[in-house]
Amino acid sequence: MLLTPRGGISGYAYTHARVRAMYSTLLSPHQWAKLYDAADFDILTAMLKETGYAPYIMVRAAGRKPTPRWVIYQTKRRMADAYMTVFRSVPARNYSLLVQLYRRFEIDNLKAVLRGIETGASWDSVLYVLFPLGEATALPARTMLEGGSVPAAIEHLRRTPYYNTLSHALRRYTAEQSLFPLEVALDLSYWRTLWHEVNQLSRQDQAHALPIVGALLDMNNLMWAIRYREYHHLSEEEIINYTLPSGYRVRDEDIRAIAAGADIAQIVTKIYPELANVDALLREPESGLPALELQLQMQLAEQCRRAFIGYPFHIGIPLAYLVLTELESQDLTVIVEAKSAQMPAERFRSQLLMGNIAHP
Amino acid sequence: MSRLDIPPTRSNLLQIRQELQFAREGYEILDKKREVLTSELIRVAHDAEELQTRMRDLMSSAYHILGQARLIMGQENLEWAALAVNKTVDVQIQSRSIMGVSLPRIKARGEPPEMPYSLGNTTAALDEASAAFREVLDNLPELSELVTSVWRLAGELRKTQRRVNALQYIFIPDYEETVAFIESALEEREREETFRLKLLKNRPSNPAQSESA
Repeated sequence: MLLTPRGGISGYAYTHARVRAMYSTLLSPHQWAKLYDAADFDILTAMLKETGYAPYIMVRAAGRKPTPRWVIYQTKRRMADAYMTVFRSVPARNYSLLVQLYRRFEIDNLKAVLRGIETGASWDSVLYVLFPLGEATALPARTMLEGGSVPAAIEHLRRTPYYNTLSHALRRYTAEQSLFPLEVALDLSYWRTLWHEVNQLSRQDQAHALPIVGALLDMNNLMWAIRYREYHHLSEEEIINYTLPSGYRVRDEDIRAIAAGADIAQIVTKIYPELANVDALLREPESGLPALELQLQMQLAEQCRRAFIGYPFHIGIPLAYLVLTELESQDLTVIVEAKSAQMPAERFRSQLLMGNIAHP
Repeated sequence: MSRLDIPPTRSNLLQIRQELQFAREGYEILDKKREVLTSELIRVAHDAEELQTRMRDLMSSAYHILGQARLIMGQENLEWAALAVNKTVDVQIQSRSIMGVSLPRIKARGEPPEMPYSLGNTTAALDEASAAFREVLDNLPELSELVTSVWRLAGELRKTQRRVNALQYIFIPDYEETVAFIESALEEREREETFRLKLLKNRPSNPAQSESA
């Protein structure tokens, strides 16, 4: 049984102490610099053994050399464990927000299973790409896959929060024989529920959670609208249908304007006046968009770091820590992939988020 | 050059002349075929080379972008996204004929779905890689059509060239020499015959008369 503190200052005191302790195990700028300078993948792995990732990297059986894929998987395991530890320390009334945040990984696993069914993939090949949720999932992934049909798989989800969403989208799946409507329904439902959970918080918690969840949601929503338009050439109506009508800084009218073909740089500058050189960045949208995505993620990381400054007894602290853990894992993925491909530093440095941001 | 080893008879002369005529006509036809194949090959090879260069650039750029996507998302996430794509294009192959050479006409139908995956937990780099490979895929049927055509035309041209050479340098000269040989042999035989007839004509009809005289 999970021991969850009741809440209030005493509840968050425990949360804060716990999360602060874990926060200190995030990679420091000094450690990032060392990892960045690692001569190759083997040295990088050895360096990781001197960080908070040590328990995850050292478990490799003797004689078995760590592979890049395994190292990345282990960083995800650490992230999953961080969620579990935070869950145990958060006041019960705010527990559901973090659980909803964690569901993103479960949704990714659900998508992998549905894709596996659709493509006739084996369990091994699906298992290979699943996020290590461990016991924290009610998803009967293997049973669903072995059922061999998407409608039958959805029936296995009756007692999960995904059943209603998927069964509503099933008609379009049947008509179009494409998983896209199911996946979009899952994504939109996820963010709506997360936003709803934020709005259920007390006023004080809401004030701290909104900037973080809002930044996450805005970043996704804005990038979706732009990507649907620039890469996938969807119609105005489709873009509006496949994005969220609300956000923190991104408004419905912004999404509608993007869908209608308005100048993206102008809209992004209006939403994020603090972003520099958006015009130059988006002069060639196809190469500039990944860079814009990165800038928005950097803003998110900054936002999370700011949560640790000032009054500490609020949901923003565990929330920010979890998001930072995820961003750290993303950065480690970049470094691991780069080092294993023996990529020169100048080719991957621009892709780093945490490695480029100094601790406050 | 060597003449055919056949007896120099009038019937053989007629037959060889006929075959020589046939070989000359064949040579003319094959020579024309060679010209047509050569010009077609030059045209198709030029198109193929241009498209191949373009494809090389496209592929190089697509792999570079895929490398970026892999860098950002990681191999595992990339494979997670790729699980969504199970459909590729259907290829329909028809053929057209140029001077008896069957050249393919390749049409791709049923593009992969425009939106194989939803955008959750994917990046713009993945979209860019996907768009780059879609462009590669769009050009692939035409490239395979052109490259196959080049190979088939080149193969046929080589065969035709061999036949033309064989006719030009072996069969026709051999036939010509054989015809010349038979003609000269027949003429020789005719001369001999004439000489023999003259000799017979000049010989006295009664040998006893010539003796008494």
